[in-house]
Amino acid sequence: MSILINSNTKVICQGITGSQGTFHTEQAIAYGTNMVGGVTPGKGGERHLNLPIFNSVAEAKLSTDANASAIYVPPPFAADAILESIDAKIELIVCITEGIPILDMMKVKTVLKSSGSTLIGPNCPGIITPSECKIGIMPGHIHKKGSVGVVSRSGTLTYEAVDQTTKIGLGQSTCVGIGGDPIKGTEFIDVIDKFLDDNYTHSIIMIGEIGGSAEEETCEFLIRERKKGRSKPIAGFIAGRTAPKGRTMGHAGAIVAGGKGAAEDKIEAMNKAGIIVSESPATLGEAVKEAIEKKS
Amino acid sequence: MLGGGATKEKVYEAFKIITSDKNVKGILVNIFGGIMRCDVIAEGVVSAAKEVNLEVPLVVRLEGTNVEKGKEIINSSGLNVISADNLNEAAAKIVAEVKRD
Repeated sequence: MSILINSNTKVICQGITGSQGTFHTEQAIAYGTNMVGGVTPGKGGERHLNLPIFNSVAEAKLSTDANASAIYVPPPFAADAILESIDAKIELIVCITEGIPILDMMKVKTVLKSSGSTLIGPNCPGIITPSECKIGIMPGHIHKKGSVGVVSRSGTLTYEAVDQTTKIGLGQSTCVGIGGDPIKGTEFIDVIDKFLDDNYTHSIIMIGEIGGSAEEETCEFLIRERKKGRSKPIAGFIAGRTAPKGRTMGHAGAIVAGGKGAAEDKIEAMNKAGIIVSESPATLGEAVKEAIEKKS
Repeated sequence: MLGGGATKEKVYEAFKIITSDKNVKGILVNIFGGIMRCDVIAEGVVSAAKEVNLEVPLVVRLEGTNVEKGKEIINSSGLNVISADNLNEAAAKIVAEVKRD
């Protein structure tokens, strides 16, 4: 089936009356997501897109029993929006906003650790379980219910992986865009751990990029788990092989600094962990097919 | 690289920056639109290409949200734009165009 979200997930949108919140909530409803309301402080009691608007997440949760929130709040207020959702005990918080100050995210991360909430993002496309629930900005129509779990730091490359796995007929169980910021709620390991447990995820595509060491840590995790008998076919890709050192490439977290975070190191770690590494983002579908065939 | 949430004006500015570099021999626009709607990108590309009097080959690959609307804007623009349906095709086409010049 899926990880984290399914057709029973009840979703609210924070920032629903803004232009992005409006556009993507319309898209989510059209996709079949169970949208139950929205939050815009000061507009409580109004209706928007035929949904009830609340002044706070706590009020929204009380009235709608929502268990997930999509955040389209501008950067200066986005961290507060996340904290509000954590405070209201929303189980899954998906923050799309790009440009949240790192210092704000450090505070969020500290609160998050001692909470029961899961945060995806910020600066990410969101999460989708095809044909069931879409929380985020990904184009819904390219997805197809299936067996590949996709996890990625890049939005556009997630869509490439989705498009290719749809075209070769495998489809996707759940796709998670963890985002391009250096401090984020959910890391590769968290998602892959869930994919390894999920009966409907038969293979995994992991798309990393330069900067940080999350890919290397995930590869070490995979090697440890394999020794315990937990493993699935995995294909991977690392974006930024040709990036010059010391320059931020698109994402705040995508930078090779102090000799760390280079693509070659990540690719080597992936090879060691038995991941089939794709040379190009245009061949991810073939790579996951190869991983499945190699495994069986 | 256009992050999520770019406007038509931002696309236009990006295009101006690229075309002001005389070392640029060809332009490949690759959009798999999520937060970026293909029609917005297409409008930006069309107005920019007209404005800067484009002299290098331009390949555009559009996919994703509002892709049909985007392709329509490109195709009805009267501009000499080569379109591609996927990333490999787009890359091959722009390389071929640049080599020909």
